[in-house]
Amino acid sequence: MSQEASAECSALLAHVSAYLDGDLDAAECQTIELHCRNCSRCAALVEGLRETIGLCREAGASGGT
Amino acid sequence: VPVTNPENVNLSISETDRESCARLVRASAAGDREAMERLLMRAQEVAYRFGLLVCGHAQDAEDVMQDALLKTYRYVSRIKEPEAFRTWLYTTVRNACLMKRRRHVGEPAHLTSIEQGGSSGDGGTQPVEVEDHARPADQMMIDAWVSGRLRQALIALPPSYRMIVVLREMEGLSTREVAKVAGISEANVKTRLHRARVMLRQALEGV
Repeated sequence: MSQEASAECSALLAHVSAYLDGDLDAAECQTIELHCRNCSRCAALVEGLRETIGLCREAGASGGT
Repeated sequence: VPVTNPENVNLSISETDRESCARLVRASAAGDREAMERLLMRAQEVAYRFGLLVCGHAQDAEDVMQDALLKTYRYVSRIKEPEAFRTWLYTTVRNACLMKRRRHVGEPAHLTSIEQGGSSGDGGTQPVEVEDHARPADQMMIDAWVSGRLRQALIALPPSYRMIVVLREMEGLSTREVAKVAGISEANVKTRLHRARVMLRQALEGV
């Protein structure tokens, strides 16, 4: 597992929101997922953002809207 | 490492909600008073909650909500896209919040303490505002809606970022709708949303 931030990590950071919003195509998603298998920092980032988005949406859903 | 999209979490605005709002708008515009009452009740809740998070003060949220309800009542027949009623409502509230913010410019940022404010400078005394330490109503409203961790993280966001998060993630508007309400490009919405998510994550991990 690489722990040093690389150019691939920077690329992931730039596209992670688009990935989580489902705005990337299958090949781009695969690139991110492959990178996350080998980079625990990026995997944690993606999971953390996914959890954050989930918390916001759950709060919105419970707001009676 | 499992990496999954949060697609399984439902967004707030469903098609049913859009359609039901649109029906109420059309019926209200045609003079149906019962539909107008239901539309105003729905608008009241949405406008107050959004105003509270954007303005940050209960009194301001109350004022902008009243303004939005008045505009809904007066101009319902002029709403061109009934399906986009919620977007229209958010835009109305957002504009009213901006006006409030502009009016607040120039007001003292902090209340004067008793020790600092006793003398008027000419040998007399001047009235001193005493800070109310009771828990504000707006804070209690937000408490009831948003969990403690998320609340602290949201409050720490810059207001322009907080509005994007609230509209996109919590109120369930599309990127295009958020751009329309916020008056910025869709690309800008995505950029702000990404930065806001990263800030929220960092804040949540720090709590």
